[in-house]
Amino acid sequence: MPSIIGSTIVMKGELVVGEDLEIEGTFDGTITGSGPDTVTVRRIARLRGEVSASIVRVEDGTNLENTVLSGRIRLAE
Amino acid sequence: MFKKNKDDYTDYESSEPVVSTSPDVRRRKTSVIGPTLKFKGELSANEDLIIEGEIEGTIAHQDKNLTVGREGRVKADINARTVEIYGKVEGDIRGEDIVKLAKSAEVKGNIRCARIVMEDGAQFSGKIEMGQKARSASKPTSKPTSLPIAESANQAESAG
Repeated sequence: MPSIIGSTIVMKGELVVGEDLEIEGTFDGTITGSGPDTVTVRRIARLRGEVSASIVRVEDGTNLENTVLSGRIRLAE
Repeated sequence: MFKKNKDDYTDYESSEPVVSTSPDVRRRKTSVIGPTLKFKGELSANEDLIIEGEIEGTIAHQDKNLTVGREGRVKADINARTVEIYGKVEGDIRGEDIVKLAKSAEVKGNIRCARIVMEDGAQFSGKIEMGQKARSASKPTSKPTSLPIAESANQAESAG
């Protein structure tokens, strides 16, 4: 079951996730994947900080200013 | 005369949170914090939220519905329109409309709400303040209509 951070969610802090995660909202801090998970960053998301996961899937057009991604980075339309 | 209003118990008899990430859930604008997810920090939301993971910090979630699922573990004050607890919560809960504690719920903290439903078996330690006055957090009551401290069933058993 993937976790979903919806478009009106604003999170600031540290997040550890062991499952697939979709981000549509605002996140400021660090996201760490603890398993073979995929973190999907939707175009409307606002990220600031670090995202580390096995696979980081980023939609085309996403604003990644002030964001560090690590893992397998995949661009998606 | 004393016929129950079915709406008062919507989705409650099953004692199971409706957790799904199907397209229907997304159409309803519901966010899901899954069971393996641990978050420490500040969280605010303006959509329905289901927590099956672990949250520690602050949750500002006014005007929407918040569900702490059976696997959910929350150490934070909760503020929402409707609050349904199936898991563990440490912190004060404020429900603008209603607070529901399922039989699997374990709550340590004070509850302030207009209405409350507590299922047999729910563990609760704290104070309950309810009624219209509880709706307004900005207007604290000089004489709160609070109930005596209710200790959990386990604590009562261990004392006895």
